[in-house]
Amino acid sequence: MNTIVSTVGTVAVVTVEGRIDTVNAPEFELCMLECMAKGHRDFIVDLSRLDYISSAGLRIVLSVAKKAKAAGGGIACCSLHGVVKKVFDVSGFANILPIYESLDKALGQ
Amino acid sequence: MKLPRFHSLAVEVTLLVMIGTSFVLAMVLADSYRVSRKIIVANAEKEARNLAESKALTMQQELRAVAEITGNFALCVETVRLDQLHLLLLIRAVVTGQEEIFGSTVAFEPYTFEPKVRAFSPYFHKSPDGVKYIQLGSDSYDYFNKDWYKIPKQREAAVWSEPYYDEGGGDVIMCTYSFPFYHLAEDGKQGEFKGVVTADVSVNWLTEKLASLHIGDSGTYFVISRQGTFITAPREEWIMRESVFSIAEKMGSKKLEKIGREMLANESGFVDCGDLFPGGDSFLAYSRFKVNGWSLGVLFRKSRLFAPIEGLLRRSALLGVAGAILLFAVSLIAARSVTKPLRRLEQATANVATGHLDVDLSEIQRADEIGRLAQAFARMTVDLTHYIQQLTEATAARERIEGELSVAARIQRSMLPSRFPAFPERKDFDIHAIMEPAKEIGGDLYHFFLLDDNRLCFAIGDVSGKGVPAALFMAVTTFLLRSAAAGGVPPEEILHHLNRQLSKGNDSCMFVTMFCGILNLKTGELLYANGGHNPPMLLREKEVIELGPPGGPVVGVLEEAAYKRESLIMNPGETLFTFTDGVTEAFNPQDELFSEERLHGVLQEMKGKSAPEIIEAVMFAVESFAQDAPRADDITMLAVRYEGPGTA
Repeated sequence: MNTIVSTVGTVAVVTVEGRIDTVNAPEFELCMLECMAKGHRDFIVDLSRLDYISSAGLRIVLSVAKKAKAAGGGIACCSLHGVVKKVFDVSGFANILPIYESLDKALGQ
Repeated sequence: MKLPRFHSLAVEVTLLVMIGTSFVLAMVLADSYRVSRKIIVANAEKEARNLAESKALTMQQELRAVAEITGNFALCVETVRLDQLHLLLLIRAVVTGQEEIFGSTVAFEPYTFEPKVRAFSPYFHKSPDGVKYIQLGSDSYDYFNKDWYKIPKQREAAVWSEPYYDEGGGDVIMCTYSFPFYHLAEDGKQGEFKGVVTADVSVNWLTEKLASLHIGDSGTYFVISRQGTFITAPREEWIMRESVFSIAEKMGSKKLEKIGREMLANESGFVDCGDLFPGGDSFLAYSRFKVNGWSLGVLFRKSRLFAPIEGLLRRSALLGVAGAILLFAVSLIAARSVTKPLRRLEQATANVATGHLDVDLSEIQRADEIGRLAQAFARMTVDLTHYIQQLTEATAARERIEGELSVAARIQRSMLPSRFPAFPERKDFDIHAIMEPAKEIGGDLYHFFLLDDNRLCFAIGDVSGKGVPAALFMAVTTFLLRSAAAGGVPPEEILHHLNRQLSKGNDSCMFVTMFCGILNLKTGELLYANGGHNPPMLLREKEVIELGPPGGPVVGVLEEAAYKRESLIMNPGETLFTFTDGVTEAFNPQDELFSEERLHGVLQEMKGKSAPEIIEAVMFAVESFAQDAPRADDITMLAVRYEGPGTA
């Protein structure tokens, strides 16, 4: 797994590559928490290059979403595809979190 | 260069230094020897040339003196008409008065001295008994054909003859200088040839003269005539019998032949003639006599020339070897004292390797690299002791936790019904389940029980994450599921209840996906609700269908979430196959997912089979696929086969 963090305005865009599984989920969590520590409240998680996400990964997304909400911000995911999209659909996360087709559309909101 | 293995650093370093030193020493010796030789050769050349030239000069002076006397004598004979007595007295005076002259004659053309006398040539020569007289003009000694007479007559010039043995004359080996004289014409000009005046020089006398000229102990000399004949020679038997060229031919030596030609052609020279001459490897310096074309050679033996520097070389080499041995001994002692602390360190390392960390290196008190190494080593043993202690404690702690975790895993597993067949007395359905945990304690769960004689309640779930938190969450979920389902409420109510309970104060954001179903065993009607769980598969008689997407989100996240009740009818012989994502998301070593497509394929083959058979087949397929890739997630499956009410 690789994470690339960039900033568009006040929004932190986190691009995740590879796989998020039980083993490296804490790494992903740490990356997100660091972004929050830097003062970011709004997040877009770009999943265009993510091949797989386990339930542990979903938990991190959820956990960050809650913390962002508590701080007055929010989290959105974009560019879901393949297995990742299926996981989001089946688990109902697609209804819990705002999901966008592309990064541009997510930034538009 | 591959160095041989040494057992001691000291010996290795010393030997390397020695090899280097010896090499340098040998180079210096070789160079100084070469330079010395060059200098000696240059000096020898100068000396030899000088020697040859000065000796040749001395010899020539002697010969020139003879020639002058003869010339004057001839002039006298030519201009003054002497009678026989006075002529004889004059000749005799020449022979007795001149040390150089062995013999002398005045030889006349036929009938020119006395009209009646054909041959007239009175000859005086030295002998051990004093000066003797011979008339050469006799029948036995026809002087008109002798070279000493004939050649100056033809050439009309004074000539030095080649050395010859004068038989019937002086009876010794000699060379003759012949000076022609002529009739005086009326006008005082030179008239017809009248005869020759000669003076003989004995080769013996020449040899003695040469011998008296000291040449030094390093050289021997020889003289060759115009034809190359040895007049004096390095070997006595060569004298008058051999020439340089005849010897060269015998030896087959082109080089000697060349040297011979050079000696007769060049004024002087210096050549390395090797061992062509007796006496061994030598240099040859030569100088030609201008008066008669002879050449004098001086041989310098190299062994004599180079003897001093060879002695010096031997002495230097001997000193060098002795010095090298001394240097080796001193270096070895020095190197051993330098490497002594290293050997001590080596011992200490061996001790540490066997677990004895209490090594004392305080004796190594040095400020250099070895001292620093010893200090670092001492620090390392202290650190090692510390780390080993920490590691021992940490290992003990981890073993305790692992032990506790394995107890937890056992407890967790004991919460799931695991006795199969679960309802051996019931023929109208069969239920089978399996939970294969991943390496770490996980969060998969399943449950089933009979609500009453006609209703079978079952559920399968997957808690997000791993480890103790997941296991605890799973335990809570199992407990809540049991209590919620026991009330006989429909499946969506069960999920609803669970969701409310788990969402409250769920700061860790853990959740569980769950499929819950209640099968009416009389009618085959299945009521079910799905909270974010993988849709189960229904194995019908002719097809395998996937149930629709979940009617609600994962359980434990949104307190206000709603779950939809759904239903379907199971016909006798059909099986509902439920599973967790550990099945479809098993990876193989190539990082590929097992996938729903593969699961679908396996289930297609297992249509109509019993619940345990189906689960076993899927398990086998997943394990074959994953090979030895580590299992990332728990694999849980639960299959319910409905046989129909008639079979009860």
